[in-house]
Amino acid sequence: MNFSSFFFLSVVVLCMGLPARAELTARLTKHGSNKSTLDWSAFRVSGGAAERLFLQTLQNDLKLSGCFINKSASPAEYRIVGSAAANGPRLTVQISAVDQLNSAIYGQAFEHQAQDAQVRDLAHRIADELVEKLAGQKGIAQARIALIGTASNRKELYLAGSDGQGIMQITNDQSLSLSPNWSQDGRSLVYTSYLMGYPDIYRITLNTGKRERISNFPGLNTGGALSPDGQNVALVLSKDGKPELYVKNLPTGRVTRLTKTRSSPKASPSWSPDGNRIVFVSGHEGGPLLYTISRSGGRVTPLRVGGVENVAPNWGPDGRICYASRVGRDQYGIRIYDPAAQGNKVTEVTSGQAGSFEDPSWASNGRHIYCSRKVNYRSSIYLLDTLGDPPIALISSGKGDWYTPKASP
Amino acid sequence: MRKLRFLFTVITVVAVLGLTSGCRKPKSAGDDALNPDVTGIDDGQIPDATPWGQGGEFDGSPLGSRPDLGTEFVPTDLNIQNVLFGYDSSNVEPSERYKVEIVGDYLVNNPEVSLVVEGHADERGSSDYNLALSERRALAIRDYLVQLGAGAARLTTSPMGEEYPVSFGHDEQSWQVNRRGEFKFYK
Repeated sequence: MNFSSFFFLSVVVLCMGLPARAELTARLTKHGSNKSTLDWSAFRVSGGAAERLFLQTLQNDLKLSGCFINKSASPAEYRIVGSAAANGPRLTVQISAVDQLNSAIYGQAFEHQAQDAQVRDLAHRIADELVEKLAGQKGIAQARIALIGTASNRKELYLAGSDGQGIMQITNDQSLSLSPNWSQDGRSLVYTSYLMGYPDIYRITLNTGKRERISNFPGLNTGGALSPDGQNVALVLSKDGKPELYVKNLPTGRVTRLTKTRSSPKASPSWSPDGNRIVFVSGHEGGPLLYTISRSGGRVTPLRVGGVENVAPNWGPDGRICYASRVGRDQYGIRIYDPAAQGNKVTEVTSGQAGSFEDPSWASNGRHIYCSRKVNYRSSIYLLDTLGDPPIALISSGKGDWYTPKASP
Repeated sequence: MRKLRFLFTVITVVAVLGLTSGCRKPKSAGDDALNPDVTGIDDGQIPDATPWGQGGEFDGSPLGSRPDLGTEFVPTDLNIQNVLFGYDSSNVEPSERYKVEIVGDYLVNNPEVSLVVEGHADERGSSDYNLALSERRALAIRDYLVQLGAGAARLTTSPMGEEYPVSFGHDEQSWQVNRRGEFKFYK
């Protein structure tokens, strides 16, 4: 062929080889995972309040797991057989799950206290056992959610069940409490409080209510997040003249500065599951974006996730990071960054949903995410499913608003 | 024929360069189509030379221990005004500097007075981030006061994030007055 044909052919070939403008994110299109059906028609419940609360809680937990569909007739993959009956202060439960070949895959009997809180606990425990036995997925029904609420007018610390029920007020300081984070053993929380007039970091041991102040430097103390081994706490401090990321070793009290950037806001540190790195928000390149750094400091590495504003990262048990990204005028959506994914590492979880989704945090099963959802400036708590089930409201705004939910590990 | 071949090579090279530059992903920056009131993000700008501006390596003066405040009071005959900030900004704008200078003068002339600079943010965005942003604002004001001669030891910051708005509308009129630094005097 002559040169001019070769020229045109090579331009055509080059254009085909150039990558098309990359899709920013993949969208979750799978509509839920495979679900097993449960037939409850052989499970007998007397009309009392305790029994009804038990059944309602258990069935709801199984639905929230994303693994089951509750039915009241056959055919179903499993039949739930048994009964729940209250006798004065005690609740007696017998429960089995029988498959289509009539084998009992699960069978247990319980005798338990019949007060509301204990009835819920029993239902949560059985739900987790069923989820693990029948679906092979880690159960999250027994987890608790730590969150901030304004039901008493000021922002206080609360605990709720994983289903959003059984809400308990933990602080009553009439000041301002913010952003709780769990210890890995689920026994304590660190959070920011203005109890003494300035933003300091406190640790509260939940079964005793005992509190200690673990950071009260001049200026800002916030973003308290405990390392997986419980020995260190990541912090945002401004004591050296500008907000930076620090780590305080709890046994020795020694504070190490991690970041040294242009003066800019820092926020929301979250530890990797192996405790070696921390993901956080920094504004040193203009607006809030995500970065990671080693626990001992050094280079600040941007997380390449695109977007114009990324905040509130949470590093989950399987290594994925969920975060909120600005998707419209003052609206945020939840995204996931998967460092191990081939090709596209970013997935949108809430695309197409109305409202602004913020402050996401992983459930311990690495599948579900708790977050807040703002509509008309009212804030509620929602459960999101990374396998595509639609968002479910757990705690709706009403007397007050609810913020920054974190599930226990 | 040789000239033509050379011409074709040049055109090919230019065409390829033109096509590849069109496919490069733009650096993340404020998307003005979504948020027209966002001030330009200073991606790659030369850091501000003025010490109290955003940018540059100026560390700010380390905060001394929280001063023994004493009792809060409101100085009479002093024109105290809240310092207002731009969206996502902790720059003390030239038009706002006089408000800090009024307080600076007062502090220089009244060495027994301590000051808390309260920083605030509007309701938009992550509340964690707004807490640190409000601290950046308080620090920017504090740094300027130190430049003006008020002793660093009696100046401290108290960031409040988005938690204490002075105006409760959900519009720029409210947001502007909520993006502020406030002065609290003690002696």
